[in-house]
Amino acid sequence: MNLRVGINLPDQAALAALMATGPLSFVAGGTDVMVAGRGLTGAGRLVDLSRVAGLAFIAATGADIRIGAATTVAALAADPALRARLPALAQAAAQCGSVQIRNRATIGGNIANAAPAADLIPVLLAAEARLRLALPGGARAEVALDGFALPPGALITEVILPGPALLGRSAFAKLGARRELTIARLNLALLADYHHGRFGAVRLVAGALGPRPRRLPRAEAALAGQVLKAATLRTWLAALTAEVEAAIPGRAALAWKRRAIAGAGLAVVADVAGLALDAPLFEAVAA
Amino acid sequence: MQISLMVNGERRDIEVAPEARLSAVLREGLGLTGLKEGCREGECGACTVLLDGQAVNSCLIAAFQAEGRRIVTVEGLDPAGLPQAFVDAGAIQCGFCTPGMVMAAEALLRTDPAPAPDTIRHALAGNICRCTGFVAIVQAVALEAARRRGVAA
Amino acid sequence: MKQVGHRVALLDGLAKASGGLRFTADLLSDPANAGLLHGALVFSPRAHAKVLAVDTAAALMMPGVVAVYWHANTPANRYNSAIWRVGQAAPCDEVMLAATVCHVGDRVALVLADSAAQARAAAAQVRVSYADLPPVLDMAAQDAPQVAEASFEHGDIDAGFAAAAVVVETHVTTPRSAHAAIEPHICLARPEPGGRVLILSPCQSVFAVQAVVAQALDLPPDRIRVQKTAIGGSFGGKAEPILDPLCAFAALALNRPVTICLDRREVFTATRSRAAMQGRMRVGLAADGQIVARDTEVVVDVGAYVTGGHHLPGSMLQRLGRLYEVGAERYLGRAVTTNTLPGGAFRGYGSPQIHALAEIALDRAAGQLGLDPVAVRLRNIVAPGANEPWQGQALGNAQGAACLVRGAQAFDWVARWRAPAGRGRWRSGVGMACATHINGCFPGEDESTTATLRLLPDGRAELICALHDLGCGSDTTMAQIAAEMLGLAAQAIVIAPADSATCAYDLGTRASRLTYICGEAVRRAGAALAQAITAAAGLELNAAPAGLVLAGGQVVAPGGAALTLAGLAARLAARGAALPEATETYNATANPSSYAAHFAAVEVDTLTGVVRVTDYLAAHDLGRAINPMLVEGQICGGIQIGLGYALLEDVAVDPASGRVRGDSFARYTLANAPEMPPIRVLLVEEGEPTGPFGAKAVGEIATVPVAPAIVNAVNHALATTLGDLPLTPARVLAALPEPAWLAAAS
Repeated sequence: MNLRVGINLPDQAALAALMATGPLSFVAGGTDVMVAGRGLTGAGRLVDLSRVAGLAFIAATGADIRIGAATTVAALAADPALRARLPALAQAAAQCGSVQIRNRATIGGNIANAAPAADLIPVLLAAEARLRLALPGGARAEVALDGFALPPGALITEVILPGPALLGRSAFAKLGARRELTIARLNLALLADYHHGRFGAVRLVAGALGPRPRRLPRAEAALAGQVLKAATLRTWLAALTAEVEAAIPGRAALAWKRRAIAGAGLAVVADVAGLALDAPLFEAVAA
Repeated sequence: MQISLMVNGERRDIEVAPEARLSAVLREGLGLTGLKEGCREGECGACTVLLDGQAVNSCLIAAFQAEGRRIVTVEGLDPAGLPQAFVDAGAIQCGFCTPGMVMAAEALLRTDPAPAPDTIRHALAGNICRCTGFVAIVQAVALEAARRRGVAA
Repeated sequence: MKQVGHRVALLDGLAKASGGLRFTADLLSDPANAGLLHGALVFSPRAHAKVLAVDTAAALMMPGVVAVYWHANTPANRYNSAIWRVGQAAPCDEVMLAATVCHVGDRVALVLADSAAQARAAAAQVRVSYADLPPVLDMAAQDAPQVAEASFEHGDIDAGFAAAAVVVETHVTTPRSAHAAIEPHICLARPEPGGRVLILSPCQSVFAVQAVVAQALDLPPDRIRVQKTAIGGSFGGKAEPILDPLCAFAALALNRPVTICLDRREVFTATRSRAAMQGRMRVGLAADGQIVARDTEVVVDVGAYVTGGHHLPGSMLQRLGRLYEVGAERYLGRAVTTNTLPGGAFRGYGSPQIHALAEIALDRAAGQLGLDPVAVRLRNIVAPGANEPWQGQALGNAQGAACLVRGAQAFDWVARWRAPAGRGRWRSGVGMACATHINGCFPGEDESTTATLRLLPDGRAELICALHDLGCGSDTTMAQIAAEMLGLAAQAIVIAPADSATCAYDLGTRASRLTYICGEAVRRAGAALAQAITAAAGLELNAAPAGLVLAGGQVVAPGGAALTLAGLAARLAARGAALPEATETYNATANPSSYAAHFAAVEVDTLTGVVRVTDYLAAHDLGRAINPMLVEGQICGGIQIGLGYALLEDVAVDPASGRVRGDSFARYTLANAPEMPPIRVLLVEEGEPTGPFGAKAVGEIATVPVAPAIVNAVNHALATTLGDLPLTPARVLAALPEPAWLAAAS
């Protein structure tokens, strides 16, 4: 591979200047691109994004939440202001990989790698995230994460979580082959307004249910505006199952996922409602 | 390309290919064969080192990315500390996972001096051992934590 | 005793923990390996095909490439990688590089280059064309060739079933599983003058490596010298020399040191696995729980090459017959080959499979009568001094009952078994299983070990014996035994690495023979050396040798006069006398069994099917724990493997393509630290008269009862009859009725 290296670029201006000069390959945390067998692909110079000044930050106290693309997953999991405003993102980050992975993996990398079971993306989609991009040639763009495809040679520089889209509460749940360091076989992000036992607006995104994480509009409709009670939950769980059946018909994993999604579903609802998972309400539903 | 790494308190200058893994550079370029390569996909943790005090899988870092950053490998630890605690607690069998396990435990103890057993297991979730069942490893970390605090284990 | 029975720290523990101990991959840049070539293999993507052509032109032109081998330019000698001595008869169906590939992952070509990266880059440029042949991918298929069968019958099976209060038939399947040792497979070979080759290999027997390489290369064994290197875990996965023939061949052909290191994917897809089993067992119980009749049929899939798989049906029968006194027994075991990843030795080698079947089946039958599973085991477990019915072997001081009684009490079994599972989302259950395992290969013909102990000038003692510590600490155990006999500390025993040139022939580490057989040889050598030392010291001290005691590194006379061993050595050397040494060959005359009872508590989430093991107790009859700390380590490690076998691990060969799906640590799920339950270990040390200091084996049996204990616990929690391992969440959920709200889904 014919790579030279750019490292320790002082800031994004220098990065933009470099991008204007020719094709570049990027590596940030390396937790996807450095995995054996995947290989660093692409021609041109290899740029380390993990230390470009200004590319890693969490600004969670302004109107919008803004996160630099090179922010590590560990930093996301540990940021108190982020946890206060969007707990689902902190939870998803805390369940990504292992300590070693979280210390290196970045939010930008998680998005760019676009794995079907990516843990951060369901939360970001539910939060109607937008991305700031640096394009080859120096141009900039801002696009919605929903439906996003990374143009060749482009770089995600920032993730924006618009303030108005952040609902009052949020939660994330994941089901994997084991509890820690596991690829999600199902993950679920819930953003919701919830007051006095009643859901207001609700946004629900599931991952590992197809090539990309997807909104679950039927399940959302079954929860939005509803009082939290057993009947609501039964209808909602049935809607979740219907969403799974619509997403992966005929797939071998269908039999398990159509039922097990209830586990992820009750977990996020319990979290948002501030209830324990073994509360009588949930026991009445699960039976 | 020439890079300069700070390894175990010493500056080491070395020629590397841009895509060379830090794990390979430390092992083959600098002769620090304590860390092991078990998978090259960040799943086994046998290559764990400290990078600016944080536990990382060195197999997933391109060596040039570590330029100028502080790396600690198992050779840089006091053998009388965690390594000895592993010996005393019977936490070693084949020993292949041990350097990585020790480094992950070291990272934990530097931020949490009195971790509960579940906290220790969580911190070591990225380190696979096939020999010990992790029982004695958790005991070893708790033992060293107690020793550092000067209390009975 | 000063050494035996003590928690002596692993002798090389600090070297391992501080990174100083070097494994094979850490030796590569040693000056002795100057000019090292790295080998990269080309593997078949087809399950069964003739290799039509191998185009190496592009690969040969790549930088650093020195040679490319395939079937046409390598010896085509058929061999069996599981033999353990030169000349051993075995089905020889393996070849170094295949002209007809027999599984996805079979070896097709080998590229040698100056660096690993160059070799792998060139390997990707080797073009192979295949002509597909029909593959057999299903072990149950009619056309899966059978390679071995074992059958046995004793007692009147039909009368037994007729008289039974209940007859229950159980089906159990166990998966193919991976050893997943953290050190990937590796080999290093160096040419030596005179057409000889030195092989440095993390192996389980240097003599097995020698025998297999000799067969593969058609070389006289004395041209092949093998030294065991430090081994980063094996569990049987490195018992069969897989890379050694090719490594040695290339080193000789190119006259340069050669190393081949597999990457993790290659370890998963191109080495060995535990053979999958499909089994059916019919159990007839009397009203009091006595097993009046048992009828077993099992098939194991040994994969594309037989390796040691032809022993499996007999091995499973051997273990089956050693646990319970059964009124009438009928057994039929078969081994078939398929075009899939080959099976091989893996901790327990047949025991985990047959015990999974037998212990789940016994629980099922006991459940039909409403009997306590522990009570049923107690009713049937063999008593001390019993003989097993197949080979008539004496089982020794069989203390399985003590494991049951003491284990059940410590686990509070009765109360927990009777406690309700709960009716909510999470259900609790407890389960248990017994196990037995052998101690060595007797009455097999090679079951002997020769150990030499000699006094060193500095007062330490050197042990020369082909010992193959797989990481379990057996070297430390041997050192403790030798030290006990010589009045030394274990740290004062120097163990020479296993070397085919300097050690007497040995079977190596297999069949749970290290402590029981090698340990006894070491003990006897120690006794003999002690005698030689006291004889020499007697002359020096002018005292009767019979009255001399070896203690604290000294020879002590009754009056208190003492001579350090170093001092004795110095005096002997000054006189030009040889330092004392002793060699003993121990030929086994017995093969007693070790026993165990494991108890597990689980919690099952009926919404997701996820099983959590919440508590665990392992009771082991091991005669005497030479080193309780190492014993506990073995047991806990065995539980990790067994837990994976029960719940998480499946090599998962794709039934359409024959490709291994579980080909990385991301896809092959091992239990990591958060998955492990708290574990209590309870040792029953009643002594085995034929074992060194009364010791019996524990290493393999540690993993045998784990899976059935956990499965039985899940079935207890859920009132299900699950028996297809692993109990994945999908399998668990499929056995549970659909919840009410699911009916509303449309």
